[in-house]
Amino acid sequence: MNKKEFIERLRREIRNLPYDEVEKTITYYEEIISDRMEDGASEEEAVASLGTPEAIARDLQANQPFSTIIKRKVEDYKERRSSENTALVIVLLIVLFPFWFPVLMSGLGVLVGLFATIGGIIVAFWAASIAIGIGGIGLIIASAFGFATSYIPTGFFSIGSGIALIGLSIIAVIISIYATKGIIKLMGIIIHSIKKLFVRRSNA
Amino acid sequence: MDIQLKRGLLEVCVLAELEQGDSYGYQIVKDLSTVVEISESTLYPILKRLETSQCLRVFSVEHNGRLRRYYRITENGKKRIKDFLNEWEEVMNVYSFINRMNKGGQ
Repeated sequence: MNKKEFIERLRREIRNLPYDEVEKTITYYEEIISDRMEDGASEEEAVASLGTPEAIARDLQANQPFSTIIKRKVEDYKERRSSENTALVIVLLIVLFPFWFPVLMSGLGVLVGLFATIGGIIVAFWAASIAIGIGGIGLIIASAFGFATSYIPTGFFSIGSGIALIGLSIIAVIISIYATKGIIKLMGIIIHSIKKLFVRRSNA
Repeated sequence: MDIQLKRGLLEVCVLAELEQGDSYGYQIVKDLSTVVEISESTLYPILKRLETSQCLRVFSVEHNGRLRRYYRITENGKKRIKDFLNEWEEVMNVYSFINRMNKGGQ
């Protein structure tokens, strides 16, 4: 494969990416091939060392936002199917609706549930941390009444537990921050794996 | 090596190379491949991420009648290296601890 063929194939493979993304990618690979050739490689060698345009395109697709991937899937599908086939597929989809619809919905439900649970845990963490802090402040304010009404031991008790609660709240907030960061990372990993499902693997 | 870990390491490797001076794609791959396995196709998304996170800037320089894209590290990128070194000092301590324990147990 020479440089021209490689670039053409790469351009075809990534045509569904945003325009400036396509241009940037092509510029990058053109530059690499030229630099490799300047360094003494033949044109064929320089191209061969990059791997196939298809493999490069797959890696790039996986790094795209979810919506771009789905759009590409739909367009690919439209291109491949002739009109009769489409009619057959639509009929089958309608006839088999009672079978695939619940499966699809429960799949979606599980996903939504998963994210809602994770979100709920985060909210609960923050709410608990802040509530403890407010409780502490409340106790300190209450201690003022204790002193004012000369229930001195009660006052000291309230102020002490108030400070303890505020301390606890600070620790809880720190834990919440780490938990939030961790979970955001986890969500990223989950979304990335789901995206990978839609981008075909090398030999599949 | 774990893929996420390697990706993160490569990002810092690229920044470390750029800290020595501006460089371009092929040169970066050539220099880094003496330390770690890296190809042009692995480097591309790394450069893109570093650009998005404003750890480097891209500019074009004419070379042999064509444009070559050079990469320059930013303050953000330099900070990223410092953070990495600080973080990994701890990792290295843990590593030597595990290593010691492992040898002691044998």
